[in-house]
This record gives sequence, C-alpha cells and structure tokens, in this order.
Amino acid sequence: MNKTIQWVSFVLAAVAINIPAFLLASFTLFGTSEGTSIFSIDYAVAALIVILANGSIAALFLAINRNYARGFFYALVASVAEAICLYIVLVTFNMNVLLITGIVIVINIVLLIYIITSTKAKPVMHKQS
Amino acid sequence: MKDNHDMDQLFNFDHKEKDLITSAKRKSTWRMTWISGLVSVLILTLVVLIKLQLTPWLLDREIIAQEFYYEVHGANTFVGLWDESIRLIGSSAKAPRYKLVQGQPVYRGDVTNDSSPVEVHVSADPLQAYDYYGNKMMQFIHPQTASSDVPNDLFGMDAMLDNTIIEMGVSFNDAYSLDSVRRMLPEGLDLQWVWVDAFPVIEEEEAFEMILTENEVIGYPLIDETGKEIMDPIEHFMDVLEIGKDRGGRYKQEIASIQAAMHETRTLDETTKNVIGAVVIGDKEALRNLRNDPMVRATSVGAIVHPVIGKGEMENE
Repeated sequence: MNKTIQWVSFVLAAVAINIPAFLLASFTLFGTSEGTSIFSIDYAVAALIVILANGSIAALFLAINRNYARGFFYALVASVAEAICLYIVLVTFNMNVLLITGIVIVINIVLLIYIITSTKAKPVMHKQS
Repeated sequence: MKDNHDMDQLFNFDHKEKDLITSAKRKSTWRMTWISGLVSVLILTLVVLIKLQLTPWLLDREIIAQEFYYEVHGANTFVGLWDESIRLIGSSAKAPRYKLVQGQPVYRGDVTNDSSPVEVHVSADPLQAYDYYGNKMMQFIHPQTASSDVPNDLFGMDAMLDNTIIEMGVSFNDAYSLDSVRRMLPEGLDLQWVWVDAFPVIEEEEAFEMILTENEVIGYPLIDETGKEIMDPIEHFMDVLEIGKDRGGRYKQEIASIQAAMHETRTLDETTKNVIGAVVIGDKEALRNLRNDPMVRATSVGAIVHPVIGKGEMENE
C-alpha cells in the first residue's frame, strides 16, 4: 500500500483516538485539587489511560516503519475499533462499553507486542570507508 | 523419465497454463481491490469519528460568541437554552431570544450559532419600528442628537388597558449615574436594563442624527435571565467584557472597543455618569409619573403583556 496513504491513516487514527483518550484522562483529574504534584497517583492514572490508548497507534507506527503490510492492516482495524469504542464511552458512559473498550485496548497491546517481535527494525546503514 | 516429463509440463505453456496465470492475476486484483476498499472504509470511519468529536467543540465556540454579543447588546433581551443538532453535515444550534416583563418572558425570535445580529425592522414612521414577527421595537436617542423629532410613546399609551404591563425604553437628555437614575425613577417602576455611552467622543453632533433600535444599543441588565436581581450589575458587565474580548469569537474586537470606551472614565461604579438611557417596566399609572420628568427626553414602548395571574390578596380567615 502507498506510504502516503499509510501515514495519512496513521495521523487520522492518532487524532481519532487521542481526542477521547485525553478527555477521559481529564475526567479522572476532575477531583484533583489545585497544586497537586504531577507525580501523584491522579496524574499517573491519567497518563496510564493515554499511554494504553495509544498502544494501537504505536503498533500502526511500527508496522508502517518496518514495511509490515499485514501488521499495518491489523493495526488499522484495531485502531478504528478502539476509536469507535472510546467515542461511545465518551457519549454514553456505559459500563458495558467501557469493559469492551478495555478488552480492545488489551488486544491492541498484544498486537503491538506481536508486531515488535515478528518484525525487525530497519537496518542502520553504515558509511563505507 | 518421469522427471523429464514433469520438466516438460512445467515449461509447456499450453491453454491450461494460461488459465492459471489469468486466474492468479484475477485473484490478486480482487484481493487488492478488497483490501483497498476496506482500508478506505476504515479511513472514512476515522474521519467521521473526528468530525463528530470536533463539531461540538467548534459549535460551542460559536454559541459562546453569540451569548457574549447578546450579553452586551439588546435592551432587556436575553438568550435561552441552546438546542444543539450535531450531524455529519450541517450541524447547528438554536436558542430562543426573549424579553422579561415583570418576570414574564416575551418571545422575540430565535438566535442560531451563525445568525447575524443585524436585524431588519419595518417602519413607515421613523419613530415607530416593528420586527417581522409584529413586535414593537424600542427606540433610543443619544443625548447628543440635535433632532427634536423623537418618539414619545409615553403620551400615546392611554388607550392601553389598565392592567397592561409595559416595557418602556427611556432616553435621557444627558449622561447620569446609575445611582441618580435609581433615585429619579418614580415608585412602581422596575429598572431592568441601562444604556451606557460606549460611543467614542466626537465633536460633531451630526453623527448621532440617528435613532437606535433596541438591538443596537449597548448596556447591562440589572436582572439575570430568570428575572432575579443581579447584586453588582456593573462588576458583572465588566467581567462579561473582560471574558468576551477573548472568547467573543467574531465579536471579540467590538467587545474590546466597548471595554476600552468604559475604561476611559477612571472609576466605573454606580456614581459614574455614563448612563444615557434605560428600560423600565410598569403599568400605565406608574409610567405616567415620568411624563414631566426633565431627565426624560424620549420614550418608546417595547413589549406589552397582560398578566396571566394577578397579584391577589390572601383572604384572612
């Protein structure tokens, strides 16, 4: 698949996932009092939500970088599924949908690990003397 | 030998082998088409999701800008709750615009997120203006206007029913302080909104040879959108201007210039002489007391209501 299309889909997936991810993370900071250190539990929970949500984005990035076409396809499907789940959670705040979103995020983390282990990084080109 | 026979078959491109290649090409094309189609659908899904999440944010910005406009403009005019309609194409938001006459709302049309505040009114007589809904619009005259041709609806309201509650736009002959206006008002009249002088200082009087309608004047209310009295209306007005010059959207610059005009006077409180008009509410009897008031230069009727439930007295047992 064309590299440009792959990177465009990467950017779209990143935006579509991070908008609800950051909003949900900010909801967890709702009860945090002003002046709380950024290294507190509240901020750690918010950061964890954002990091976990970006698992599929990381998988997408690696698949594109390592020219792994099948991995790109799987990661794109996973990203879209996660984006849809996050949007529904944001709109409905339904616990069942939240559970499904959690399962999707776990699957995406597994996919990320799969892509990392099944592909190698691009070899570094050394200049010949 | 069998191996040679297999080798011969491998390199023998007869009709059967051509079918194989054609079939392989067809399958490859079908697979590419299917994958491309699926990727297109996935990308389209992402675009739709982004649109659905960005639209409310963009719509809210426009709504806030409209609310700031009507907080500053519009004599005794309030904006109700917004009804948002989020769609893929053509999202919009609408809210009712209304006046408050002794706590009773009077509908004055709708405001949308992208509607222009410029309102066209109909008037065969320049001193009597109406909107397209048939509502009478108040008119205001700046104290520096030289013309003697001003609306005087105070003298034309005798034909109205006795229990009619009238919204009257009053233009003063000079700038007064809020304190003075409150002391001047006769008993039985409610002061709901004041017109402040936010015009730049100019020498020529010809620039004010115009009659302003209620949607063009700038001022602040003394009651909130539910009819409850605001404790510190001037501070509330200055807060609105301060926030509005950042979040007023397309009206940011206008709100900033109004704030600059307000800050030309060193102090801004209830003793500052910048009130050049007001909106008062009362019945005919109470309004008649304004007739001989030297401060009053022009009066213009706005909304009229007939109370649904009268203020009856409890019977003693």
